[in-house]
Amino acid sequence: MRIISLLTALLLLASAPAQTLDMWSWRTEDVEAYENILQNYEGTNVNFEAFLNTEYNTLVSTSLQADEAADVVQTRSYGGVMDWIDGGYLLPLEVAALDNYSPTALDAVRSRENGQVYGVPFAIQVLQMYYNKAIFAELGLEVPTTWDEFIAVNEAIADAGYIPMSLTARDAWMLPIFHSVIGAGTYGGNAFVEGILSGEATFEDPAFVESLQAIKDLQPFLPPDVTAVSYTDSQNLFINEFAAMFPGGSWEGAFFADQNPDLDLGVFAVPAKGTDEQLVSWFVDGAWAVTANTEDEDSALEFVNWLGSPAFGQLFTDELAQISPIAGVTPTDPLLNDIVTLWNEAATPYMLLVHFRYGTPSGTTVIGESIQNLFLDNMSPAEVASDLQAQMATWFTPSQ
Amino acid sequence: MANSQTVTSRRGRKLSPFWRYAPFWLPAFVLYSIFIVYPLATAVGYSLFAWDGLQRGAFVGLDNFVTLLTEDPWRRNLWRAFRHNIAFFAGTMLVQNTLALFFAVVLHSLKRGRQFWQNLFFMPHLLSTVLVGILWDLILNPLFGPLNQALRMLENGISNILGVVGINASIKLAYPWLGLPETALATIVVVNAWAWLSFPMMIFLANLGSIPKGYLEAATLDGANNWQVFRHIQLPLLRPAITIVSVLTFIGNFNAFELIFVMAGSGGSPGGSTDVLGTFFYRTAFGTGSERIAIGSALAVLMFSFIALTSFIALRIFRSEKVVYD
Repeated sequence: MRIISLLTALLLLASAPAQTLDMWSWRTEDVEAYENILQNYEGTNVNFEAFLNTEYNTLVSTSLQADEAADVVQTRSYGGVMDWIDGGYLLPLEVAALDNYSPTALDAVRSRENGQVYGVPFAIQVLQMYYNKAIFAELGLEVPTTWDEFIAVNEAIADAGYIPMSLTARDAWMLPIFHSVIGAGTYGGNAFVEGILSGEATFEDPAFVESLQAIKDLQPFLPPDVTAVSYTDSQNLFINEFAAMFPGGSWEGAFFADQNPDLDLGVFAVPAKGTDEQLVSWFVDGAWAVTANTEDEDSALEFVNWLGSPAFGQLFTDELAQISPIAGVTPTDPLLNDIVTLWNEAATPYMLLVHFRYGTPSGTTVIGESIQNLFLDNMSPAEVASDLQAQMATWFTPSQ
Repeated sequence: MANSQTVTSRRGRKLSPFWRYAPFWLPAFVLYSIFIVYPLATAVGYSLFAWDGLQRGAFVGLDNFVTLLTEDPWRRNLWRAFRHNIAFFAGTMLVQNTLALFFAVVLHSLKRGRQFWQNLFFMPHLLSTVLVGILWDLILNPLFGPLNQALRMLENGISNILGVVGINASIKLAYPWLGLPETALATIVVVNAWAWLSFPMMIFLANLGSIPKGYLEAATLDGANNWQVFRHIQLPLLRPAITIVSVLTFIGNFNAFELIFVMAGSGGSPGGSTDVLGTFFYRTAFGTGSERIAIGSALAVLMFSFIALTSFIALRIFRSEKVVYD
C-alpha cells in the first residue's frame, strides 16, 4: 500500500502543471530572505533552491550540459561566467530592465564575442578604507583628503600605539584588493584601464609601478610580520580595536558590526599618491540569467526583467544588506549608504578582477604572490609590474 | 595463470584459482576501475585535446605537455613546485621517518606501558588533516599564538641570564614561522611529521616484533651494547620496512595538498615558497580560461606518471631484500 501511495504522489508531482519557474542560487544562507522577497513577485510562481557555494558551479555546468538546469540561475561575473555564455547555455537578454544598469555593470555578463548581455547583475562590491571613528576622535584625526595627510594620519596612529592599517599578506587574495584601495588613483583609474585594454598602456608604465611603490611605502603602517598574518587575524585586529583602519570590500561591514556592535565605523576613499584623487574600486558580484534549456522562455524573461527592477533592488538591499547596482535603489543600512555615496562620487573597476580573470593564471593570483614578495623584499615594484605584464601577455591580447 | 593449479567445479568444468577467487577480487577491481582507472584514462584523453571553456576542441597531441614544460609561467611554476616537493620529501624522510624509527626502537624496548605510548603517538592520526592544519595555524599564530609567546619568554629569560653574566645580547627565537619563505615549508614538514609520525612508527614496531628474540639475545650475550644491537641486527632486518615506508612517504609527499592548502593557501604563501605540485594543479584546474582543463589534465598525467614510475623502480630495486627468518 505504501508503495502505491508513494507512486501516486510521484505521478501527481510529475504531472503538475509547468506553471512554476525554478531558480537556483549558491546563497544557502539567504533562502529565507529570498522567499520573503519573492512573495512580492506577482507573475509565475517561483521555486527558489540554494546549493552549496563551492559545488554550485560544477552542479550548474553539468545540468546545463544535460539540459536539466533551472529556468533562472545565479551566475558569477566576468571570467567566472564566460564558460556558460560562450557555450551558448544562457539566453541573451533584451529586457527593459537593462536600462536600469550602467554599461560598466553590464560588462560583468557581456559576451566578449558578440557584445550581448546575458544576465541582470544583483549585487556589487565596493573596495575602500574602513576606519574606527572612536580611535580617530580619540587622537583628534580627520579623514585625510591628500596623500600627505593620509601618511600623517598613519604616523599619528602608530605613535599612539595602535596598528594603523590591519591587513593580511598571508592570504594572498586580499593583496590585489589592498593594491586597488591604495593605488587605483595613483595608476590613473579608468584612463589607465582603458589604456591597458586598448594596448596603449602596459603594467610597466611608471604610474602603475608607482602604485606598487605606494603600497610598499605603507608597509611600516601594517601589522608586524604581515606575511604571517592571516585574513582572520587581520579582521580580529580591527574588530578588537588594535588597528584603526582596514582596507577591504563592502562585504566586511556587516561582519564587523556583528562581531563588535560597539564599533563606530566609517569609510573613505584613500587619496592617491601623486594626484590626491579619491577613488573607490568596485565589481559586480554576480547576476541572474535565463538558461537556454528553459521550457517557459516568456515567463522566465518576464521574471528576470523583474529581478532587474528597482522594486527588486530595494527589497534585495533591505533584506540582505548588500549593494544593488540598480539605479534608484538606496540602502537603508547607513554604512552601506556611505559606501554607495563614495561609489557614486568616483569609482573605477577593480581592474585585475574585472578584466584579468579571463585566463589562467589570473591577474589577481599573479599580483597576490608578487606583492607578498614585495613585502618580503624579494621583488621591487618594477619587478612586480614587469612580471605581471609578462604573465598576462601569455593569454591577454589588447583590442587595438 | 594457465600453469597454476586448477580445481574442478561442481559442473565438472575446470576453474583456475583466478576465477575461483573472483568474488573476492572482483568488487574491488570494479570499484577501482570506475573510480581510479576510468578518471585517470579520461585525464589522459583530456590532456591530448585543446579546450574552449567546457567544450573540447581539436586533437593537439602532446601540445599541452610541451606548453607546460617549455612555456612560462607554466614551466617556472612546475619546476618550483617540483623542487618544493623534493624538499618536502627529503624533510619528511629526515624528520618524520627518522623520529618514527627512533620512537619505534625505544617503545619496542619498553617492558611496561608500550600500549599506552603507542596509543598516545597514534592520537594525531585520528584528526583530519584540515583540523591539524587549523590547530597548528593557531599554535603558530605570530600575534596571539602560544608557541611564539613561549619563545618570547625564553628570549627574555636567556637575555636576563646572559645579562647577569655581563653579556649584552638579544636572542631572537620567535619568528613568524609561516610568514617567512625561509621557514614556511620546513614548518609544514614538522607539522606534517607530527600528524603522520605514528604510521611509519607502527610499521617499524610490527617489524621489530617479528625479529626473533634469539638474534638479539645472542648478540647481547656476545657483549653487544644497545647501539650495536640496533645498528647490526635490527636496522639491517628492518630494510624491507624502511623501503615500504620510504615509497609510501614518496607517494604521499608528491601528492601533498590538504595541509599546505590549509596552512599556506592555494598559492603556497608566502610568495610561492610552499607551492607544491598539488597546489599548482589546484590553481590550474580550478582557474579560468581555456588553459585550465588542457594544462590541468597534462599536469595530472605528468604527476601520476612520475610518481608511479619512480615508485615502481624503487620497489624493483629494493624488492630483492626480502628478509626470511628460517
